[in-house]
Amino acid sequence: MEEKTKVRITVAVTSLIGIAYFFLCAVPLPRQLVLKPRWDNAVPDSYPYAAGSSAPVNSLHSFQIGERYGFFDGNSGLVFAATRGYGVSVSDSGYVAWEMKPGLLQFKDPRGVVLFTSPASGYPFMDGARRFVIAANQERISEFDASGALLWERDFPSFVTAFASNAAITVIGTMDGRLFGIDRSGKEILSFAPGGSRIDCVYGCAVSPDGRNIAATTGLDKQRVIVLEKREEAYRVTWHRWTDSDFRRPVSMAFTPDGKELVFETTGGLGVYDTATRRERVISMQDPVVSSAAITGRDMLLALERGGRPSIVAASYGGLGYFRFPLVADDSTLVSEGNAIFLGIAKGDSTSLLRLDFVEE
Amino acid sequence: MGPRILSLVALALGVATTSQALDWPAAAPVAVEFGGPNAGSPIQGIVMSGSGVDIRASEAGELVFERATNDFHTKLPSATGETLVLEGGHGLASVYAYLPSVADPGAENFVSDALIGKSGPAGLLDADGFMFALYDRKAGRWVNPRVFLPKSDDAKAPLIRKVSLESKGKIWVLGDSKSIPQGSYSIIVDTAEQGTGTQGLVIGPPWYLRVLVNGEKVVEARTEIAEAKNGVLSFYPSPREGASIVIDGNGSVRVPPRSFSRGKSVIELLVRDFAGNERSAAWTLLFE
Repeated sequence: MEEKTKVRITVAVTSLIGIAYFFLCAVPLPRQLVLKPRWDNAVPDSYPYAAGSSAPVNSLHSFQIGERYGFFDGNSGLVFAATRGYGVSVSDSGYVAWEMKPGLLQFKDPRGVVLFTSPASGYPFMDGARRFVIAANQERISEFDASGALLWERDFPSFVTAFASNAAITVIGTMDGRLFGIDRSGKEILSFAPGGSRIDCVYGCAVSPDGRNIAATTGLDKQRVIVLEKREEAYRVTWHRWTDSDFRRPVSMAFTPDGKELVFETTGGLGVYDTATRRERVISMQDPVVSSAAITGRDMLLALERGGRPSIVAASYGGLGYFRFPLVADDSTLVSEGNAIFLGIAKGDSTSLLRLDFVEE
Repeated sequence: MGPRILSLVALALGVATTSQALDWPAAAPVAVEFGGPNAGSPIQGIVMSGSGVDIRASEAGELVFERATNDFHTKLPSATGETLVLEGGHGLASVYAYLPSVADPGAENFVSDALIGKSGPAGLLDADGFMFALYDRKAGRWVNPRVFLPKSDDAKAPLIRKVSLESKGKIWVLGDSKSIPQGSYSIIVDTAEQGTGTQGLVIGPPWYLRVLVNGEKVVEARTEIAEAKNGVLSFYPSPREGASIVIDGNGSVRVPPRSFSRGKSVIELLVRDFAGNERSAAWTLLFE
């Protein structure tokens, strides 16, 4: 009997301790980050601006997916869509279309209102609120303001092979391996030949939003990535790395919106350079990356791969993979704003645009 | 020392050369000469016209840069369409541009005469064709490809299409205007090569140009090289004598302004193509 009583007491005490532990030491499950669809819109061949929302013009986002381009409002969705002819350049500030042998180059705002007709001949392109034309010889670039006034025009020493701009600076890389920085007045603020490789050429460049850092992928045999930082008087090289890459075509690279990281195409994935610690990591990717987007306030980078099957890949800046999901698409595009991502997908004749929000629940 | 190196040395010394070092990249006529017009900007190479013509490597080379028209890695448009840049050694890069497509995308090494692509409609060229250009990496400037290409079998003298004086936007065409107000004038020279067979005129500045005013040599220039200095691409002579010339977006040669005082002045012009054919003309003008 005594043995049985002991066992019962032991079981009872253990159970009580277990119950007490369950109630007293319980830790709530962490909230999980999930992607929730907010809206999705089919993108028709043509969707006039008048049919769109009344969202302010300066709050719209641009998109280009396959043959279609246009603008959407982050909250309400599509406000304008059109189908390109030969070519079109779109930014959040407007668009400009061109033919193979262009006549008039009309820069328009997102409503389709003509801002001006370019006096320069060539191929137009937009970057943010900035409007450029590159001449037929691939060597002369002109910039115009919103009224069509010429801000600057410049011939570079050889073919322009790389381009980047922020609100104040334009960075140009050339076929002969030189890197130029031009301010809004057309003044040359940087002229630099990285050198060091058997053959010099600039394959890609980037400038941080605050203009503090400029980066470039340069040279062949060996290729390298360099970062220049603005000091009191001029830009100085603060970091460089010889890479295993052997790109002989344009290379993607960009700074994150907060300017803290440089994200660049490298062998096997995306290189991420931290401007504060001057350290670099590589996020492995399976296919070439079309575009990448930073998620505000989170250690997360989204990338759109374009391989046999496009995929969205999410990873931390440290290289930790979060998820990868394939898309059924011929072409796709990715834009982020805060915790929202806007995904455009084209498959056959069908094009759609959707908003997904990162939500903790 | 091979002929190519000789050509480079000769070019560096500013000496005209006829050494053959490269092969013509296509069996097609030249449609636009070095410095000729290309949609409002002077072209840094020569344009060869034709549709479906084989374009071949002018010499063996290693791929340095390949740009597809719709490359998604950059938002910068490719004004020169599909473009290939090959490094041939000796610091000279050959450029094949305005290609509708490339025969072997991704190929990194090209033997001499390797097929690069076929000509067709591409870029801003007015006619089907492609551009062939040479870039001297060491000097940082474009070189007229004719310096390195075999001399063409051309017996036709270049044409002097129009010579004018220009001041403050006003133009006096020589031959039409006998009496001109005294002042400072730029001399604008429009020339063309006579094309082969049924081909029309080949627009562009002459290989060699000499301008005399009242017997004094104002300029003697060869369009051998083009170089961007201080943000301006200029096609200028190897410095020989007289003022530098400027080639505008129409392929016209502009001799910087000079003063013409009251009285009679004689302007003499001599142009010569790369094959050595030449044409001259003279005008007697009365400045009042």
